[in-house]
Amino acid sequence: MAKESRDVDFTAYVGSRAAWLRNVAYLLCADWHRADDLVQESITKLYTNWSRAARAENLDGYARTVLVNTFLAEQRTSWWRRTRTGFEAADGVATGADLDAALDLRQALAALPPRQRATVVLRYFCDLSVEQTAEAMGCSSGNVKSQSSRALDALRGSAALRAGRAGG
Amino acid sequence: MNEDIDGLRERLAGLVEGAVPTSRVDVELAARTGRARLRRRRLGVVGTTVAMVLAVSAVVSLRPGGGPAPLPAGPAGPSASPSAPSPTGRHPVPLGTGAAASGSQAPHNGHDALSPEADFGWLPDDANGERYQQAQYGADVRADVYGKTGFTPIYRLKVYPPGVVPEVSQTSLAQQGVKSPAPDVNGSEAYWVTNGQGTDDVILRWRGPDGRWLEVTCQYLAKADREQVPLRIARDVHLGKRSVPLPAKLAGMPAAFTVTGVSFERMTVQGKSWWTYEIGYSAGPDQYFGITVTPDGEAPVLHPAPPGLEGTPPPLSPSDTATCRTDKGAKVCVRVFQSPAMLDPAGGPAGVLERVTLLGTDPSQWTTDFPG
Repeated sequence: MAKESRDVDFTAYVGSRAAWLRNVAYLLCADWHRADDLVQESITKLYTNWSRAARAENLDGYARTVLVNTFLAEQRTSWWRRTRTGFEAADGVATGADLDAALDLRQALAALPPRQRATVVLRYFCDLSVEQTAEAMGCSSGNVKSQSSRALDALRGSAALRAGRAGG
Repeated sequence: MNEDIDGLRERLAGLVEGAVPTSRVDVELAARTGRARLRRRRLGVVGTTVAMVLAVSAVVSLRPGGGPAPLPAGPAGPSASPSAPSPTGRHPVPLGTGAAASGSQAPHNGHDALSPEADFGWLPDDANGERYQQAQYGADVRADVYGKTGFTPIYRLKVYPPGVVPEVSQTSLAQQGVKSPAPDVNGSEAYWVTNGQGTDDVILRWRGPDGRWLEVTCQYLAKADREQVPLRIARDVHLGKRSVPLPAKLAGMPAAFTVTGVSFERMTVQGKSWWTYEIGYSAGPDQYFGITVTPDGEAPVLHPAPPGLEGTPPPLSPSDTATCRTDKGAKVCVRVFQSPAMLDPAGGPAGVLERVTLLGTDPSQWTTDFPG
């Protein structure tokens, strides 16, 4: 009975949030196939921790934290997977020349190091505060601030946001 | 609500609107996999206890004062703290590194694929993982801090080819690198590259004794360490090509399969030694698969979840189709992105595995040849 209840609750929750999690995952990894992998793995983790997750005050926040940590952990493991996406070079950083050549925001975002990308997505897509972002990423507020600052500097310097400013 | 920067929020939202591929996310599969993991987790408590009892009989020696160390002996080999702290209170990572680690790396034999041009001779004492990797973007040696949450330092060592002078703008840390003078490294010119904004990442470049430029990139360093740690790493780098022993041989792979990268990583995390040998392959446009060789056992937790999320299993990409076999205490898995049909030229995943010969967990029996 407990298992059935768990499955019903889990299925209902994930069914209502899968699209949102997938969007966050896509912004993190810039690849819809990988985004599906990230969400699939994250909701599997969510299932295994459902008894705790279901009691969380902010279940969306819990799920988002699982997703971001799955993404960040993957950046430092399974090295060969990332070689296909070009996300391997100094913790997944593309070169400055690559950034300059970025033609749109997606490329510029993908060129950021994973943690900078995560801070941008959490703060400006999920609209989290510095403190909430720090909690989701398991780091200090100061780290979030420095990562955000660097990420925004890089994005501003890229063609993507220059174009955004020019276009109003 | 956060301040909107250059319409960033709206533009991010725009990236996930419109025509997107159909989702492959499977809620039922997540529940089934989750149930299986919960069962394994319950059973794993017993298995781990048995493994630890067996592990205490293994012998893993450490290089005293930075001397040679063997590669990890097996899935749960115990480790000890290195001795002979350096004058700075730090000491070499307890892994065979550099010329001093002749027991762990063989002289370069001229035709192997995983042959770093240099190696760390000293690392901060929290660095417990070291990875040699060679891929399309180049080759380097990377050291990591595993077993802790949050941002932990990453150290990367790279050697530029003879005659190549790296440009200041050619950095992985900043869009526009800023150069500033650094103290000489072993009497040779050196300089820093940062993004000029006082961030916690830094690059130190210096000329090696043979005239080639070397570079150590340190990310997520504490402020107090941003000068002394890179300088100390640079001073003790061992220059010279050598071959990394690899725990498997591969033979007879179809010509249509091309290697995209090779890496070998070893680590000691929370008292547990581990290693991973990975080979990435392309089977055609956007068709990738990988072969992974590890000890046959439970891997250490490299990236613990933050407080409140303890107990989550290590990451596993569920869309990977993994087929594995074990032999001589080692385990080899072939993992496939997208359709497993890409492996048909080799006879499927089983056919790929047949082409892999596991060499056990004793590094003295490993090969420095690639594919072996």
